[in-house]
Amino acid sequence: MKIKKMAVFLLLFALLAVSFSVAVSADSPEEVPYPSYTYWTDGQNREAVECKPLFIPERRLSGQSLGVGKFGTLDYIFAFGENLYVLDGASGRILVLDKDYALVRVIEGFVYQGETLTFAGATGLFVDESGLYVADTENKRVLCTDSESVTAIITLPESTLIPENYDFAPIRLVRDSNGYLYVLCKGSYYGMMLFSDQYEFLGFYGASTVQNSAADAIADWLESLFETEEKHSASIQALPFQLVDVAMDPDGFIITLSDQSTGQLKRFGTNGSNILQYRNQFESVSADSLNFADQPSSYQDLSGRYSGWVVEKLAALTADDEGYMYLVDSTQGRIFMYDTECQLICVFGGGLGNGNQVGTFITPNAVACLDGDLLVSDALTKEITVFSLSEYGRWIKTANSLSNQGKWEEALPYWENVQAVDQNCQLAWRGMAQAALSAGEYTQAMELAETALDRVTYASAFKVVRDQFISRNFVWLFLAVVLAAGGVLYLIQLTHKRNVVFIRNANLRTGLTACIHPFRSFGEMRDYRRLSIPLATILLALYYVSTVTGELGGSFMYASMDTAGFNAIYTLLGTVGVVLLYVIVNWAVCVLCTGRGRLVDIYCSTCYCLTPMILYQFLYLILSYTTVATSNAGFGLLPAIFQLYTILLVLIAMTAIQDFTFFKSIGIAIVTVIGMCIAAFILFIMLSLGQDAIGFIVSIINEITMR
Amino acid sequence: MKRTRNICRLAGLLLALPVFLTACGGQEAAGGAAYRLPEQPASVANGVVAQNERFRLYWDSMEACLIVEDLATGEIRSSMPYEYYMGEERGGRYIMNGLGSSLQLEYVNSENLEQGLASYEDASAVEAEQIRDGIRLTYYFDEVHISVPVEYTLNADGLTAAVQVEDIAEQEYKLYTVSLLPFFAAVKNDTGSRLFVPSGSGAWMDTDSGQRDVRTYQEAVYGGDAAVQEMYRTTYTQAVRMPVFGTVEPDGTAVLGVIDRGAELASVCATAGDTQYGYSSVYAQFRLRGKATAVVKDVNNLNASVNKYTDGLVNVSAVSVRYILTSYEDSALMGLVGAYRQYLSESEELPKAESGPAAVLSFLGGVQEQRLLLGIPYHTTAVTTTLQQVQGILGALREVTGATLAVNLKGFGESGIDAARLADSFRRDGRYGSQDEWDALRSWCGANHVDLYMDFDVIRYTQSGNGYSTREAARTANQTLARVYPYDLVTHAQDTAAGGSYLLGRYHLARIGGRLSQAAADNGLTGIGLSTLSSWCYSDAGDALYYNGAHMQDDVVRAMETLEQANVRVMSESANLYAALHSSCINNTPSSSSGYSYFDEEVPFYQLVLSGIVPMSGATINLASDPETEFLNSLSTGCALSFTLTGQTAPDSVREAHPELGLSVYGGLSRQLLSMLEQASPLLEKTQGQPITEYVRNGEVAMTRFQNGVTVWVNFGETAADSPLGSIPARSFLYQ
Repeated sequence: MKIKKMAVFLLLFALLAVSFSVAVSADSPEEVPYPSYTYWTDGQNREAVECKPLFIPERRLSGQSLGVGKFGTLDYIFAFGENLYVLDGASGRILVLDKDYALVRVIEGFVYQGETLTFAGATGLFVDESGLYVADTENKRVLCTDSESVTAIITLPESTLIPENYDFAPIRLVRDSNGYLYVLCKGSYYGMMLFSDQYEFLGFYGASTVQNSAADAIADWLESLFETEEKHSASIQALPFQLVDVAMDPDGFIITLSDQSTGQLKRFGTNGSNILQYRNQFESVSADSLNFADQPSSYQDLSGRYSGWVVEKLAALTADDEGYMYLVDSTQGRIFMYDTECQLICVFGGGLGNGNQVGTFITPNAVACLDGDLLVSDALTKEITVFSLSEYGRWIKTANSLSNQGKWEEALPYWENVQAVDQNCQLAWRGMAQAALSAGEYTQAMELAETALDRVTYASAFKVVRDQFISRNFVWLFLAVVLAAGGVLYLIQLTHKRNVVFIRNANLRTGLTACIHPFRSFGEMRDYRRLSIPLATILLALYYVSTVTGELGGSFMYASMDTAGFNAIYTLLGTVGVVLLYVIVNWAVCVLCTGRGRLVDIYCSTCYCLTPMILYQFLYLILSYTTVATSNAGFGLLPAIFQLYTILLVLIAMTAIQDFTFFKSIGIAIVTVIGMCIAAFILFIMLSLGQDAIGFIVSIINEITMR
Repeated sequence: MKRTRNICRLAGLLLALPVFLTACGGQEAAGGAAYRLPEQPASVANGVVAQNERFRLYWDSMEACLIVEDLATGEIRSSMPYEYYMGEERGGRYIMNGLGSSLQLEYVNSENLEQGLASYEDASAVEAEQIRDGIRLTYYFDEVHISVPVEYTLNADGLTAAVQVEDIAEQEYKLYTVSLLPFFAAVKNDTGSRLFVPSGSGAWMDTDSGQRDVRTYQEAVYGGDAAVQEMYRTTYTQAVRMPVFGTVEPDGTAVLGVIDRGAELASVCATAGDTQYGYSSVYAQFRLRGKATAVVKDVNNLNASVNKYTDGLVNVSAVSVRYILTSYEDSALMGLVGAYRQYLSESEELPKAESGPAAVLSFLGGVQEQRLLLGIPYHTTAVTTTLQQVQGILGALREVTGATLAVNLKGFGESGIDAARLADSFRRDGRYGSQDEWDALRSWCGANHVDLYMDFDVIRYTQSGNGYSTREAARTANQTLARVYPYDLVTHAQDTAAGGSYLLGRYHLARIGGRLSQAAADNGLTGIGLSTLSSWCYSDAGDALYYNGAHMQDDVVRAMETLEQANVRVMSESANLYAALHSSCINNTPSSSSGYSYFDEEVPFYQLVLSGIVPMSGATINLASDPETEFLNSLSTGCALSFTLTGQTAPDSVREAHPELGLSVYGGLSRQLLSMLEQASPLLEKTQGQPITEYVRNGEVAMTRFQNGVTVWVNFGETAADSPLGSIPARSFLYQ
């Protein structure tokens, strides 16, 4: 018999080892060597979807192609007016190109007090109407010039605001319309150094802050109580993230890029705080919590080629004339394009360190926009790649800019062009939904908004549609409500005054009235054994079904579930599984505490207590299709009220069934929860061990076959 | 008791089965002959070893150098660059080993690492034997106990070098790759010479040095082995579709290298601007052994790649490259094209394209999606195009433009465009339309001269069925089933969670022609699409005959010939050359190269060679990054326009897995399609099926002349350009 069981087990194992087939697809050929994609966002969820390229790599510029010989280093590029400035720091020269990328002149020094000052080792520059400013890193100074001669030299200022041993090694700089100079130094945690138009040091600006919560503070304090001096001195100090690049947008705001995991991009208002915000459906949230890089931004390398982990690192930043911001990831070689609303327009480029195709990079280090083109320099290949905007990209930029200005109907033709050739563009769907809303086509706006995962527009259109429906059908609706109310009142009157009993079966009656007369019902259960296992099971099943229905069937406005990844098995475990686990653990605890109730009593009473949750799910369904969403919180406290009532019913049930006091029931409930956690943990361990065992056997088989 | 014993025996057998299976897994080749260095290697005296009407072959045993002299022109080519050979100076060991070697190889050492050797310095001996029309050289590498015999023979247009694979001898070390005559087609740097590489549609590499670093190129012919999938795909590339390469010099001389035999095993390699050697060259490298890579944990628990090589060499008798010495007058490109067309016409009977469609439309029928039934996920096929919609779209296009069309129905089986059972059991599924609708579509196409094809993917599948089991799928060198996965957009890694498809075992693939004929008859088809069969090449290490993709050409050609005999037309897609020559139409031909930064110019070599032979379409316009440019590319090479279409929007849930569906909805594309067809069809009616006799590209303007005298001027630039036909508006064309 045992051997038979073993053979069956072997057979089952063999069956489990057979993989389920899942369809796969063909790749479509590409003539750009990288995929362009965007993220479809649904509040928190992000899904990368390939789209048509907005930018197409046209060519590469090198020192040789420009006729100046190889670059010593390619440190920085900057566009101003119709010129591109290319900084070759190692050779101490700046190449000035025109908008056709022909060499105009080479700057190898500036006149200063009769001598020529060179800038070998410079790594940044800035150009505006007033002149050319060089971040002469090696010489620890900033050269302020009128493009021919030096007008001022900024070195480390003397100020009590500057810490001792501060390394003044400027790498990037920006000058605003008031003439204020923002200088970013290498390795500085204090933000940018701010200089007035007279080059007086005013202080630091734009430092990242260290995020610390009350829990972190308490944990730090507790730790400090027990650590020795040596341990304390060796402990890691949390420092603010460094800024890696700075630029100015067309509205004159300073934008910076840092190397943290969220909030990498900041746009500073006049008060020095980050004014960038993004929309998370109904809420406008500070962009400090937004990850501007990929999701995931770091992942384990499976091949062993990239030393364990691939970690994205945003390294360069620029803004174009329309305010679109371009962030360059030096690890993947990707460029992220954002608008001022923090909407990701697209991601393109790539190479992951293998930059031998046009449009791919090894170590991109700077980005600039010139006459509609986007230019990205690569420190290792010492070449500048020129990306030109495609027609598709022009449509998107125009449409998006108009939409951001609220000119939805003007934007509509462009969005329609985009959508005609690429239905993978969420922005297009959203733009068209907003245009339809603006034009009064509310039903269409709802359809488009649902496709675009835009709950705000959907809610706005829904409100109008609902109001129109109500006003068209007011009479019938009023009559229906009056009749329903009258019917309910009549039923109540019947049951009270004439003692009409609708449910004759006492057990069923007890179960179904438990949520409105809990003490009486559970008392009857205890005293007269009025319980119905079939009813309890039906209620449990209804709980599961209503939960699934609520998660999948609710209106789009309130849906927060990613239905693509939904699996009812998990919901089953989370509903029926949790209830059964509670019943068993509670019974065990109550037995130990000399409770009177039997397992079946606990099971039935618990299931009866689920009635409010079942009712809530159906109420939720009705409300989700009739009320307009105004926040991400859904119905706010309503679900919590039903949950609390359910918990209260469970406590009352326990009190009545087990003959405990109420406070003892609370204690038993807490112990039950702890017991459930322990049981779940044990189950998890068992599952994990089982998986490990299967994995071990599979690896043995692999070893044998791959001998 | 007896029953218990039987169960124990069964259990024991089940556990022991894997051991037995691995012991007899795969029919591995026994490998070559045993290595033995002869005491007195045979030799051939210096001097002429072969001669024909046009060429003379010399052998210099001191330098181990082969020299070919063109008696008609006086041009001389040699295994070592001739100028260097004749010069007095010789470089160091490294230089000589590079320039002077007629053979380079890679072998796998005892630490499972690949190492290289070259014949000039590393060969212990070179045995020479005179053979008919040439000489046979056997290179003995005594250090690693490997010998490689190569036969060099003269032919009417040049020299053929053939590695006699079945005579290769090994001992403890395994031979991996062999590179033939790496400097035979070499050109001196900085002389204005160029290298031609067949990446995608084709590309030139200039041979300047000094101003740029050395540029090296290598791409596998026919896209390499699809059964050996890279763990990461960081960029996209265009496959090599024609096994050919070449060099041209400013004096009008050119060398065309054609990989005669074993192209599936080959890679085209090129080095340009090498200042150490002073020469740039292009040559072929052959992979003679199968290889698979597994990822394991090292001692530091980090991932490390481990290579596994097949025990035996590929089961082919020989691999060879034919060097054609040719010349050109005005256009180096047309010179190479002409030489290659000449070679093809002499090698086999080439079809002649009488005419061709103005547009090729691929319709995507359906796609697998996941739905929920009471929260329980299940897979079903969502219809994206019905047969009625196909007919409606075709009718609208014909009515408005009158253009001739060809239609390929893809994904009209039970699983849509996703792989499930092989070729979806070779039948159309009823969910796309009833039998009446199918008959109506076929009748309509017949009446309106629309060529109708239905595509069958006979390579990828995920389920057993219809006589093809997943257990009989192709295997890697590890003897595990080869699987092909999609790649994750963000991480570039294989998306194993998305599921992978198996590749049909090569044994079955070799016999697929009959099944396809049957499918055509069963479905009432006169045309079949073979998009994967025509463009994929893969190995099956379960059988030594199919190591490294060997004999793929033979199997595919056999299948296509079977269909030809059954009067079934074949539409291929981005076809490899062998499949292209047996197709009735080639869809989605490559319009660009892999875009390496060291390519100095892209050329439509693929289209120029096949023009007038097989009707073709350009790259799919609506899936291209720049549709306008693709449209102009098609016109400038006389190719039909290509579109991929669906009748309706696909479900949102497949957006991530199938982005192409979002780019293909006819409703949005109709205006663009109609406009392009209206502009192009009058021209394409004249140029389809016509060989191209002249092609010149000058900056942003390209001129193409067809055999029937039609000339097309295409302006790819953003500003108007002049032409003999007048001013060409920006992004437009003129023709006469």
